[in-house]
Amino acid sequence: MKLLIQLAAIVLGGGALGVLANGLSARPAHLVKAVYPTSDSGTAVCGAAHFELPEVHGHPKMPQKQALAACEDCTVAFVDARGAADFARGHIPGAIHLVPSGHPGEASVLQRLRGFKTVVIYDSGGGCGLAEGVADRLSAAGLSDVRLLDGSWTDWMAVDGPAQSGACQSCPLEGPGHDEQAKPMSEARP
Amino acid sequence: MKLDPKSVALAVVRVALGATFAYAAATKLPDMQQFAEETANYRVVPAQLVPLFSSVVVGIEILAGALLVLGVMVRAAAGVTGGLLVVFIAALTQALSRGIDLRCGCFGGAEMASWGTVGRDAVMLVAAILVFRFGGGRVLPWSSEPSSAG
Repeated sequence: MKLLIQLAAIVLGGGALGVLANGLSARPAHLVKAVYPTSDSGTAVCGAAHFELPEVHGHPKMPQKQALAACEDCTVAFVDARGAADFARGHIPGAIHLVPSGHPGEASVLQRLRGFKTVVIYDSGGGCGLAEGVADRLSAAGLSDVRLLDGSWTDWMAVDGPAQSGACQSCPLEGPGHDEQAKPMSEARP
Repeated sequence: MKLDPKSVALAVVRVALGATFAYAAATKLPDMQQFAEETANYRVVPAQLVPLFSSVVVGIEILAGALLVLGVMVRAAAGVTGGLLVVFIAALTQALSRGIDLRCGCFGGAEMASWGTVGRDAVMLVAAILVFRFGGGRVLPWSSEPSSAG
C-alpha cells in the first residue's frame, strides 16, 4: 500500500512539476492546443544523413531572385513545408505553413491560397522532398500554378531574404506557439 | 564496516539510471514545443493531449530521476521509471514497425529512433527492474540502505 501511494505521488507530483517546468521553458508547449504529427511527411527526418532522396515530381521552379521580387511585391503566396517548430523560428513573411500530410484546418488554407495566381513552396532543402510533397497536394486540390522555390530556406537566409519568426497566422488548427505574434527576424539571423 | 559488492553495484545502477533520466529531462526543458512535436510524431497520443502528455512525461522524468539519484523512495521511483521505459519501448516499437521515420526525442537532440534506441531502453528497463526488485544499494559504508527508506 505504501509503495502504491509513493508511485501515485511520483506520477502526480511529476506531472505537476512537468506542467510547471513547461511554463518556465524558453519555448513552452501550448497545453490546450493540439499538436499534429508531421512524421509521415518526413519532416521529422529532414536533414538526416540516411534520408533517401525523393523522386522528382516535375513542378516548375521559381528562381530565388524572382521570388525575392515577388515577396516584396506580395504577388505570390508562399507556403513553408518544413516542421512547425522550424516555421516558428523563421519563415518568409506571410508564408502559410503546410506539411505534406496536411492538417485538419487545410480547407480554409486552400481557400486563401486560391486567391493567388501563383503559389511558391519551399523547405529546408537537403533532399527531404517536403516542398514537392506539398506541391503534389496543392496540385491535386486544383491549384493551377504551383511552383517550388529554386533553393531552400537556408539559401533564402543566406541572401538576406525577408524573414519573420512566430506562428502561422493563417493556420487555425496548428500546434503550440502558433498564436505568437510574427516578428522580424533581423536579430535572429545566423 | 564492510561494503557488500552487490549493494555497491545496485547503488551504481540506481544513480546511473536516475542521472540518465534527469539528464534526458533537462535536455528537453529549453524547447518543450519541440519535444511535443516529437511526441506527436509517434502517432500514439491524441493531438489534443500531446502538449500535456509530453510535459507530464518530462516532469516525471525529472522527479523520478532525482529520487533515484538521491536514494529517496527508491523502489517507487524505479517502478515509475520502469513503467515509463515500457511506454517508451512500446511507442518506439510501434513507430518503427509502422515505418514511421522520426526523431526519438530521447535527449533533446536530433537522434533518430532506431532499434538501437529500443535496445538502450531495454537495458535501462533491466536496470529499473533490478533496483525495484533488490533495492537501491549503498555506496558509502555508513550510509543507510536507500530502499529501506522507501
